[in-house]
Amino acid sequence: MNPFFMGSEHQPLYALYHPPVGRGPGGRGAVLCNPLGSESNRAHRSLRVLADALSRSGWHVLRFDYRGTGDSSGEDDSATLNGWVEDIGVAAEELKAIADLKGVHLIGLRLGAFLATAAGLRRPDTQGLILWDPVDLHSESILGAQWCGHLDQPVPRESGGAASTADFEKMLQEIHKQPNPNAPFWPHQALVVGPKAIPDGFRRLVGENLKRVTLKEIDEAPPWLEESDFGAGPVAARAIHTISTWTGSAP
Amino acid sequence: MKSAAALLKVLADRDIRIRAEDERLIVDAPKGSIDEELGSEIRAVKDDLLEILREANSDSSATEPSIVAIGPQADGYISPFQERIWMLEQIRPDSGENNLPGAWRLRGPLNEMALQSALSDFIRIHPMLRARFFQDNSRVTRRENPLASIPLLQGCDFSSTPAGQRETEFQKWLEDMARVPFDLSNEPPIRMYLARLGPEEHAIYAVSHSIAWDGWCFDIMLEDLGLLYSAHCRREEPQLPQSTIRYEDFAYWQRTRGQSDRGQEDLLFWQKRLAGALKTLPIPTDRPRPQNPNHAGARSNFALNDHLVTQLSKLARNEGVTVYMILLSIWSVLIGRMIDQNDVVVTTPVRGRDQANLENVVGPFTNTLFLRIQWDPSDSFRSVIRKVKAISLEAMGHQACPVDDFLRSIPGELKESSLFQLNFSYQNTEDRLTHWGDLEVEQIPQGFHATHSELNFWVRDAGDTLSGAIDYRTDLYDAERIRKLIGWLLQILTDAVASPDEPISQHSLLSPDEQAQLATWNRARPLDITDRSRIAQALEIPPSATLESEGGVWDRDILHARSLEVAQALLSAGVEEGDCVAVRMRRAPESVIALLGILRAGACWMPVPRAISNDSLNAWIEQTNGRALLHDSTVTGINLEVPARSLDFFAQDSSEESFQSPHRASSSRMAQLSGSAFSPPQSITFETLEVVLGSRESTQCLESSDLSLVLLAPDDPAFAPAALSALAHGATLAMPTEDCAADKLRLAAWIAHLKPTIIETDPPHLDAVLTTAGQQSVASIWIHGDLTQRLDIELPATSKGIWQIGGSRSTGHWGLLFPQTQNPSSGAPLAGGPAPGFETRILDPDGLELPPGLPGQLVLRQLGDVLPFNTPWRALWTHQGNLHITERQDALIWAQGQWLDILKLQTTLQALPFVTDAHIEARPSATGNSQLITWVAYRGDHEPTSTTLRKAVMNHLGDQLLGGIIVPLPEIPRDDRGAIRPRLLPDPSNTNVSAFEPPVSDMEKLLAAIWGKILDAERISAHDSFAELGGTSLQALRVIEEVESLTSWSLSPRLLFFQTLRQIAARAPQGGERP
Repeated sequence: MNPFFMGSEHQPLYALYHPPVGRGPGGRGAVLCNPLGSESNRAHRSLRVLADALSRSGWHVLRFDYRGTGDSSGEDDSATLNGWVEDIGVAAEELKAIADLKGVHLIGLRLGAFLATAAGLRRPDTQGLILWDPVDLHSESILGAQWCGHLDQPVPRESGGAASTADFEKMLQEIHKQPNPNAPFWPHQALVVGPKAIPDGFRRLVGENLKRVTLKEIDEAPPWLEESDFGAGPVAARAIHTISTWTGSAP
Repeated sequence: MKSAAALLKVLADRDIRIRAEDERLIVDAPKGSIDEELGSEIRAVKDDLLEILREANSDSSATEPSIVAIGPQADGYISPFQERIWMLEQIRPDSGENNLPGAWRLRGPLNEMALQSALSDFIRIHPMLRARFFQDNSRVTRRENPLASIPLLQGCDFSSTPAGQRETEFQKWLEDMARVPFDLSNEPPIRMYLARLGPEEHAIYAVSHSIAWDGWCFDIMLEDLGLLYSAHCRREEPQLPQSTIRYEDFAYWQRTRGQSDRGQEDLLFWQKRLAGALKTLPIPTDRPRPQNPNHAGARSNFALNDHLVTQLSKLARNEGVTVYMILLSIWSVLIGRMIDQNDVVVTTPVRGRDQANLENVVGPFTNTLFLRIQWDPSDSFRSVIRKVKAISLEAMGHQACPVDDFLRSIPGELKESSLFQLNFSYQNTEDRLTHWGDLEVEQIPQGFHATHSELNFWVRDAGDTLSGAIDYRTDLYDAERIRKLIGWLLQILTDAVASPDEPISQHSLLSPDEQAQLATWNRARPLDITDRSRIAQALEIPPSATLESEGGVWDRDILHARSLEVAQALLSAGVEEGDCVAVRMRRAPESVIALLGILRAGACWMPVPRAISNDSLNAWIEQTNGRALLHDSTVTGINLEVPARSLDFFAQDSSEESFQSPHRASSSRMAQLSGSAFSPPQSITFETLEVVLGSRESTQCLESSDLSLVLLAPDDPAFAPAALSALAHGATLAMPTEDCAADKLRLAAWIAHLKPTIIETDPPHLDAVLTTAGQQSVASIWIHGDLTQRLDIELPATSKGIWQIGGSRSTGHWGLLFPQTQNPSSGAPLAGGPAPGFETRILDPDGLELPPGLPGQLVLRQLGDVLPFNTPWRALWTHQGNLHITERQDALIWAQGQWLDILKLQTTLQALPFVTDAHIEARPSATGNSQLITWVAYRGDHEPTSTTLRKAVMNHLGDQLLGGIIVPLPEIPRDDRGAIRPRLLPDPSNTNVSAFEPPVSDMEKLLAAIWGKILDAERISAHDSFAELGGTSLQALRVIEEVESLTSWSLSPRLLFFQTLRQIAARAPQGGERP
């Protein structure tokens, strides 16, 4: 693992690069997009194991902290959804530079899946989207939202400083329906992994592109829920295996 | 009016030296440096200047010993220089290479008696000319012999030689006499000749030995002989001042000084100044540098035109420098351009007669200085001149250090050092005597036969003219190369003097004639675009075309019939004009038939990788409106979820109906795979394919007699053009099976059996190709694919010479190896011509085109492409217009779609204001590929982000991105000499994450099976951890229970949770084996 800071000087983002291990086709990279707040803390171990698993399959992997979270710079009020989508773009560019790639996969867990989708739709170099247990975006006000234009609301925080999923969804409900001016780039491959079928809201959001999405239902305790006294989630081995196998089968 | 102190500074800036001699102010000034005004100023403060100079001398005399008459103590002393010359004479006694000849024409009535008397007096006055040298045990010494034994003028009469031959014979005689060796123990170190050329034309010729003589001694001789001759002509007693100092006194002083503090200081100065500069300069030669140099030399003369001389003088005045410094600058810059360096060492002689009492002493006082000239490519010529001035003046301050003392102090083999490669000297002959009484005296230019430097650039300043020559070693250089070199010198000098503020790196070496010549050589054969459709030709399959594989040969009729069958099957399956047909086949001749069939049906050939997932395959077919998938029977498990037919090539039924129509649809697409499976295939039209085939035609020049071996897989973008090219020309097309291609030995054997004339391959099969490339048959090899991992290609010498390489960026990473030809008489390899269809240029690091003979970056552009691209090879144009590859640059790596110059990246990084040091390497990673790693140490506490660093580099270099991993370090580990210590550089590309490794031992396999069952995991690596596979404590109990039941081993939960499978198995009883 190689820790470093990327991005602009006034907004450095903490990142960890996992180089590929073992001989393989090469030329493949994945940016892992974290969930929010306490979910991120609990799922940290799973994401690290996923990164290692992908690394063993010959992938270049980049994990990072969004602005205003973890070890990245920025105060709480600098953490906006749109800003986080931009951060994913920074991570994608960085990984492409490190590994000499033409494009990357975006792998997002929970809110990270939402953000990865938003980022992926903006970027023609997104080769694949893996959405792990995406946030249930069921609100009508969210459907058709101009993701790139209205995602500039600061993320509400719990009293302890971590963002609350419920508050976040409430905030999203207040976003007005706007036409999306950006022509979306739907990547060649998309996988949704989760404990249940794709949420309706997400289905409607993805629209026609849904037919290009592979769905895998995994019945196991999700990594972002607390399982033990340590405050960590269980290692979502099945999901990890599914993801690394699915990506590994891609030529 | 300036003060004396201010005036001294002005004089110093103009390199005007003054000294006090009793009440006289002696001024030693370059020509033209003292104008009327300055002369007046000097005269006005003369007394003050004398006082200052006397004070300075008295101060320095405390540490700087003066040369004084020593007396008998110095008798027989020889200098370090004389000692070295003596040793050289012992090693090569008959070479004559230490002789110094000089001849002068005397026009007018000659009084031979007077001349003879003058010569006698001259030799009497100068004891060195009566010396003999001896080896006395370990010491070399000299003694003086009586006057009576000195032979005087030796005569030679050319006056009766026919006028047309006289000068030629005279010159030959001069050369012959110059080579006669000296017996230094038994004869004087000088011979004097008088040649009669006509009634009132004679030549006086002095051949001296450098053990007793230097260049200045000729001036002494001319001056003294002139005065003595004139006196004797007038029958007067000659009044020639005699020096109180002998050469032995100087030798004694020199050796004593070497032991003094000042002498040690000088030695240290030279050692420090030249540290790291001793490596041989890679100056291009016509022949390799021999182990034992032969100092035989030749001379190539030149003269500067009046305009250039005027401009030089003007520039010198404006800059307060001498013409010597300007010419030294241009000589250094020229050599630097030839070898891509900004750091050269130029040897230059100095008179070594700083003290007035040495001016008229005959002896070898000349010392040698090694001037290390360094500059930046962005420097203007004006800046370079100023640097050279500073370097020269600094060197002059330490010129008293004998060169031999310095040479003895440096380690290593001096023959291989840069110290004796380049020489520059400047002779001011303006004030030389031109008359002896009634005789007109004129120096005679002579041939030249020996030189100690590889290249000696010297200039003669005769007042209003500047001329010179380059003396060169004939074991290294041909006359033609030296003439070219002089041309480049004058070219760059003219430009630099005219535009002294332009960066010196921007002045081209090319003359207009050379530019025109390069354009002629580079007039690549234009693409032959005709109305003839090559695709149609291929599909018609000329009668001579055949398809060959290990298993057999398909002639034209079979190819025609089988491809028609394929076409009909596709049409029957509903394929229409313009539809895509995905093809998923192994390497096999049948893939060619599939290609022909698809095109014949008017459909689009869309090869897909054999390893493509079903999802990707379906996505492709859907995106491209694919109608069918043509595959071979080795492809199984296809699950088409799109409305397309899956057709097994080998299972298709033959139809009784024959398909008569030719291929249709010039508007049809022909899709080709591009990049990874994540990118949709890029489609090209038939028109584009025609252009591709046309460009191949002009470069490959295929004929029906050719055998084209195509080692490419069907999903390679170049497969279709390669196959169609061969068929269109009626050539034999050969393809290996997948099994043959996978077996390197078997493939090499088959290639050797085939004897192809053209090979089209991808990088993985290059080894098999190159092992057989020495065959007579192979005319060219085309490489399709990424060559970045094959920079280790060793181009084999073949009977046709050495292979060269070119390429194209727009159509992929093509590589073309085209052979050099062979000299028919000697068999030596000759450079091959540039490939038609490519524009070929040889560029220096600043992007300027280099003239023939100078190696530089090989840059190619395929006709039709907009952008040229660098290759990792250096090459040069021969004078016959051929290309010769000189070396491969390991500092170039392929990344970000281009060749990256690591050294350039590194230099750019190190120049950034926030970086203190940096180092870049491409290291092999665990994947087997190369990974670019940049280690960087930042200034201060602030560590910029990787994005900032990459942007900074991009701002400097334009199109070069600093890719790879960036590792910040507090400092870059280097040794005392500044070399990197690579082992201390942390390597982030290799992690402790182990690659997948299947279980090996019985216990590992058993544990893996148990884990897999309980965890429902399909693939368990020996390096997996139970916890990281998602195992819970309950599942752990089940594992422990099952292990115990099968092996009687009680596995501890802690071990199970915190160790890898391999580590756990190793702790099992009996070393991990199942009990």
